[in-house]
Amino acid sequence: MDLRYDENQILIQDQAREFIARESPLEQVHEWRRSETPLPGPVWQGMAAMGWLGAILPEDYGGMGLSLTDLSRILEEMGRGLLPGPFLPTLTAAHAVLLGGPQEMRRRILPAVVQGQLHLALARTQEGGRFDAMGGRFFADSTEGGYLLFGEKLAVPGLAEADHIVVAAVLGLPEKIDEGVAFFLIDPKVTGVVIEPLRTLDGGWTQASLRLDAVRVPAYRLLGENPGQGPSVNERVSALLDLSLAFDALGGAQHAMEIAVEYAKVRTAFGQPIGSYQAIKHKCADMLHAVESLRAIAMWAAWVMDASEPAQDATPALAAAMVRATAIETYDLVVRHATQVLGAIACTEEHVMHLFAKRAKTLSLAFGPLAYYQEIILRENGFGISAGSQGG
Amino acid sequence: MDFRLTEGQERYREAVRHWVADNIPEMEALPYPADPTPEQMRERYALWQRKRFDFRLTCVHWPEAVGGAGLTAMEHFIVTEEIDTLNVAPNLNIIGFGMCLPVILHAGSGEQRNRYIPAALRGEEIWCQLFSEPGAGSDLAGLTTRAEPDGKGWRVNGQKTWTSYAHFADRGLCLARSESSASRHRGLTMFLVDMRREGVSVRPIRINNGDHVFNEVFFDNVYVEPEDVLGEVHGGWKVAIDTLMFERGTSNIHILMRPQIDKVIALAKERLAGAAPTLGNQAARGEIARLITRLKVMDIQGLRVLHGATTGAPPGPEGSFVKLDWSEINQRAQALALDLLGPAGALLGDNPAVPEGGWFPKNWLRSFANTIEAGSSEILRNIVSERILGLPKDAQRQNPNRAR
Repeated sequence: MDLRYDENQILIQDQAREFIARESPLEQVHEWRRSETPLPGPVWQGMAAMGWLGAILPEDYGGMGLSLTDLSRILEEMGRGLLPGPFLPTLTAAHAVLLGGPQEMRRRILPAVVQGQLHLALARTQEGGRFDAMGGRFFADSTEGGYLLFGEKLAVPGLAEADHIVVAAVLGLPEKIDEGVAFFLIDPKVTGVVIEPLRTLDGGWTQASLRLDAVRVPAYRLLGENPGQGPSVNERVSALLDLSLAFDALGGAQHAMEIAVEYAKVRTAFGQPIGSYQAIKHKCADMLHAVESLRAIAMWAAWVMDASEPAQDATPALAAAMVRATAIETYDLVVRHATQVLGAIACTEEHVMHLFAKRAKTLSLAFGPLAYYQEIILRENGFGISAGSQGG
Repeated sequence: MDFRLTEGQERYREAVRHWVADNIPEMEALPYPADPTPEQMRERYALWQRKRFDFRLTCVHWPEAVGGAGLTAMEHFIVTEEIDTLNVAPNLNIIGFGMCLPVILHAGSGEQRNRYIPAALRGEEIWCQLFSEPGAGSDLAGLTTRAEPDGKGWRVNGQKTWTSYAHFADRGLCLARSESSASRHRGLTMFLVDMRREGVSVRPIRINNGDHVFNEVFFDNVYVEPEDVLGEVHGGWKVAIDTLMFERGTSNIHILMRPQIDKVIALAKERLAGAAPTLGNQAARGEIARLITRLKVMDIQGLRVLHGATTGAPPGPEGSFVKLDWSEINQRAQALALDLLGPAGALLGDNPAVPEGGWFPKNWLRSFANTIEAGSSEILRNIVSERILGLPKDAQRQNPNRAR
């Protein structure tokens, strides 16, 4: 057993923190948000130069071939710095292409992603009471030489900036949903693709709605040798997404807590630093307890997903759901407590705390609420519910 | 990053399992009533502990010279999981093995180690910890039990309370005020007290569910030999802090709590598995998912503390998280059990209509003390916010010389 990050992982994290402090300091993020400015292109290029866009892609495609534990060192720093931009959409969509895309697709897309030339989006989940890729109103009907895609997705992260979109669709028409989910790579510029950018709570996490009106997609744009591979691509990509969001939450929650704790040491009231009063210090202790709990389970979940052999006590799906449920509750608790410790200033536009609060809420709403992940945890622990009533 | 045990540790776990499988039938064959007398409890404890000692299967992380197996805290954790959670015999020396004896090993003289540790490991001596008093709980340094020099030794007078297993204990680790004019923290000394000595009396405290675990202990001019001072004279505060850190470090209490939490999960599975989420069970479903997740967090936090211990670092404030976890998780679990049982959760006694003879409501009552015993949640939050986050002490506690 060794529960420490190795030297290389510590180096990756230090470099990420330096890069973000230099290229995207928190005051700058705040200013970009005020002026509704997206992440500047040169910063994205810098991220590409650091190797981040290909962090977990194999070297064959120009990637670094890192583990998820290695990647987590970068993600935690991104969360800490509230780094805007479509990194997670690009990371997860590229991973779907890697897992399911035919060789030609991988060769065309992945090296360009690694070099920072392409933004991708992953249009997976949808509204309609279901939060997994199987739900919603998005269908692929097979036709000669390919598929016809129909449907809508409400809030797709990074969609407006995307050069390519990986979409999940249910095979078949609404009246015959029986063949499961499949992923397709779509060009947003083709006829029938309608993208409408939306204003978002967290301006650093852009979202847009997607509508496909009978978009003809050739068969070679299907991810997976056959449509039946969709579910396994879906499972692995959603685990990656859950883990990534959890590390983003970990870095953000840690930073929000630090801001509040530093303030509690210097702000005085009734002749004492407010951090000397138990009402305040116990809130700080609760923040630390929550953050360290999330850190513990996130380290473990990354390890479970990295392991070549399945862990004895958990599937990747269970680890992903547990880390995500913990992240949702932790980030929420920390921004509420940090705001209370900071007092009224934290409720102003001028202070940065609302940026953390917006990120926390956005992450907790993306891809399904807490109850959805809790049901997965129950299912994976033998609290299965009858088929047909399964789902978010 | 690697959460796996080493191959050697896995083999060790296997060997321990084999030993358990070989030795449990013999214990189970012995008559032991559901409601044993203290004498029967003691007898069974001593028998099982002796058996464990003969195979060096208790406190295996202690040096071989005092009766341990010279292994690491990781093997100790494995043994706790594989043997102690089975409750083959009542765990009467949990306080000794978790707190008193580790601190004797840490701060004691060679003579003290040799005199006390092997005897306890052989099952011959049971220990209690004499810290809390009616007027000094969380504010431990406010204690008033006095130790006055008498010839070469000491005379102890005063009262302790909430003393677990004092009614079984042969020896006690007692913090007393040895110099009344000194500051609150400086005038304390730690003593190793013979509980059988004249002047010691033990009175049971019945807890809210009727069980007898805690006691009041009275000292009326009890003599303590000079060689039974642990650490420096007037240096008892440091020894006390070290003791509490051991309690939250390698005592593995969170592992010992697992069977009762697992019992709630099993009950929940029986009640909830197969049922679709409804308005009536949605809150319980969320709660059980949270419980399962927090248990995983607690286990990992326990491993992080353990990992620190195997690298030789003394236990630090991180153990406080594990204490907060097990106490809060168990309280929520026991409350959830009653919610799941509905009206039957308020029934006691030996009747087929009463689940498990009323174990759940009794254990729910017992869990109230979890966030108070072994360091109250409030004190633990002070510790983590001050020692890890660096927040200032409050004005009252900044001055150690304030009047008592």
